[in-house]
Amino acid sequence: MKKILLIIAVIIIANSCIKETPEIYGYYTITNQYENEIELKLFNNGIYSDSLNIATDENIEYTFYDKAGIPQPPPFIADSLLVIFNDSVSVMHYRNEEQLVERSLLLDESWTELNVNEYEYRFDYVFSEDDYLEAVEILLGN
Amino acid sequence: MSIVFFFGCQKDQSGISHDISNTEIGFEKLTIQSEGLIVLGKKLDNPYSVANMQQAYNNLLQDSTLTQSLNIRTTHLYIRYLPKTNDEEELLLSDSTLELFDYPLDYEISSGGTFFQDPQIAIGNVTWQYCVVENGYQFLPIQYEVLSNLFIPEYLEGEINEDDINYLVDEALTITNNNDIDTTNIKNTKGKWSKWSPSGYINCYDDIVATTTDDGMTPVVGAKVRARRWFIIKTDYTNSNGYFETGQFRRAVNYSIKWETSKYDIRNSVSIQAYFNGPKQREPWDLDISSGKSLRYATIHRAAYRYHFQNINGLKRPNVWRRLKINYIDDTGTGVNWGNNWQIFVPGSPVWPNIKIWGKKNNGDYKPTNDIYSTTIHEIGHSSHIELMNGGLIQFSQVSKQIYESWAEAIEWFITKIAYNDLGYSDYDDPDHYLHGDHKQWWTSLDSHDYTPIFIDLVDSYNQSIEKGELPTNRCPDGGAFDGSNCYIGSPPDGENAFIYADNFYHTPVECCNCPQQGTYFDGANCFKMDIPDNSIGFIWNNSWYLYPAGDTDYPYDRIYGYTMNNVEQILKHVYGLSSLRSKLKSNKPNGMTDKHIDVYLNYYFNL
Repeated sequence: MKKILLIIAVIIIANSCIKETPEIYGYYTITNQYENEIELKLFNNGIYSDSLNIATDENIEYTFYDKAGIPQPPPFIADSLLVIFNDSVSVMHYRNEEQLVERSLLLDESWTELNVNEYEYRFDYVFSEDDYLEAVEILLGN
Repeated sequence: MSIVFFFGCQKDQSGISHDISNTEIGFEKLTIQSEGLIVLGKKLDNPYSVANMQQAYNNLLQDSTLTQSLNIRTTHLYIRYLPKTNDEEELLLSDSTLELFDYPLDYEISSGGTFFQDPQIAIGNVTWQYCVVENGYQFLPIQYEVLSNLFIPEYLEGEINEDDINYLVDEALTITNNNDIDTTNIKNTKGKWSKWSPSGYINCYDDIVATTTDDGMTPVVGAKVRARRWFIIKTDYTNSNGYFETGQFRRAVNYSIKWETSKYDIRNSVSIQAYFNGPKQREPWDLDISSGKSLRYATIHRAAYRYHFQNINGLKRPNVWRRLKINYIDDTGTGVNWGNNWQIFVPGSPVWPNIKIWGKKNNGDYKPTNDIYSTTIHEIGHSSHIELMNGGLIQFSQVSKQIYESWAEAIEWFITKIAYNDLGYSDYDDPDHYLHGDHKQWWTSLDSHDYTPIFIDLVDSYNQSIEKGELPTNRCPDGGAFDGSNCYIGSPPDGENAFIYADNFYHTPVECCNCPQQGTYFDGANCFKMDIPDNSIGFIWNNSWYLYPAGDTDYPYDRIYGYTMNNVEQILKHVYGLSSLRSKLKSNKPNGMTDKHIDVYLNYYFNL
């Protein structure tokens, strides 16, 4: 009798156990392959919120994890972003307004997404010489 | 199979240890290890045994030291129980007169630690439970042994004067080689031990607190601290400052924390009771728990204590019939809830946990403490939900995963936020400041459809579709002109009133029956302006018709507000899936909410 009850209990437990889904991990990397330092100034609702500096060939990494999933990039809160190349040339990136640049850091489609495995995702955004030249063009009004 | 899963796959990693103090006891230095197995030293000759007390008394009689004659007899019993089933353990734990120890009280503790298991008892079974009871105690129907008959003069203060108690205990300690080394500096002018109260502060590290303080320490509230001198045990629970103060002693005491309350206990990966064994000393004990498993036990305790005993803004307590057993696993993973109360259906079942919490990320690093905290709240939230469904796993098992996981996510967000707000972090988990977090305002249809922000969105006032998303170029696809905030549809003729009826825009007719504006018509009572589209919510402002603007359709369109977690918990008892949720929300709308608000929000989930 005891054995039967134990088997019933195991079945009940096996069917009712709430096993949480494994966490999904997201790794977000912003890399600077431009030949000088880049500074990113973040704004939200028109208010300056943070500043990030990335030296040449360096990167900034963010990691998020959650059972439900991970946010789409970018990995910070901002609706506009000022990118300053070498403390001299700057250009705005936007989330919702009309873009001047081809690859706004604030839009998820500008990031390269790599599905490492079922539970890990990698998102990369690389600043290159082309981004600097694009900023110069915009500055000159071309 | 389940048994294999429970016990066969878990490997305890007790390698992390650190010195917490170098405590002086007389002239001896003792290093206390804070992690791992409690290691016993040699068995001590028991000064409180009736035989040794009688010998001590005889010695003092020869010296004529005592002021009165004493009746040395059995006043207490040193015993141990061996509960073999969950029922037996519950019965033992429910006896609040017993102060139970997993380890024997008449051994040296050569190394402190966080757990003890008698090597003769198989892992997974409850180890011997040691305690002291009064002579004449009625034993519980559990296997037990009487280890020693005791005479404890400290408990006979009305019968024996204090000086005689001191002389007798001193002599008993001396003849059993247990007297502490020269202690003249702490004896009073008569050469006797003065009374003192063990006390101290228990704090632990927290990653959020560390963002604003040097050491990151926060008080551990409600921790059960025990001060023990042989068979005399006095306890206290830490207050809101982490402070405790037990009853008085005269000599040094062994300090320890037992991670348990009347509602839950915290165990290691193989379900052995978790402790923090502190030093033996005759001075206050201030402890900062900064790392290792003990930090995770302390964090789980903080969360469980919050849910059971502290402010949770009107949510119900878990109210699980049996003490929740929460196991901490020092490895990579999240959490599991095995349900409540099922043990009562299986008389003789072994001691299995209700909840398991894992402490490490996939790279092997420890998760931040606020994550351990919120995961604990999440899992206890499931237990509370099961209890809400009449405590029955069968009724609960009919609830969709989307509902019970989303509810646990909401509980996790709500209570963890209260806790950190109470610590002074008013913007903790604020979606305006933190992209990722328990607030789930980053969640989109690409993420798990089980762990959603449904219940959070009923309570918060944040529309992630607008605030987080990438907004469409056309903000008014269902009509109207975007005025920078909303979609302006129009205004009625001067002197008439705009209103909404049956989800249509109307205005009162001019005079008897005139509807002069193009596109409006008289329907027999009022002027019909337009049917509000299914995916839009209309409203009247300043006597004009408006629609809320479109947002990013990847995110839920959250114009719902005004529900409270308490309201929602009350209707949750009748919610099994999205349809029953919709029905219950509509019949319990707060002011300002309409069926349309609920439909527009929930349609997103129906269409996933």
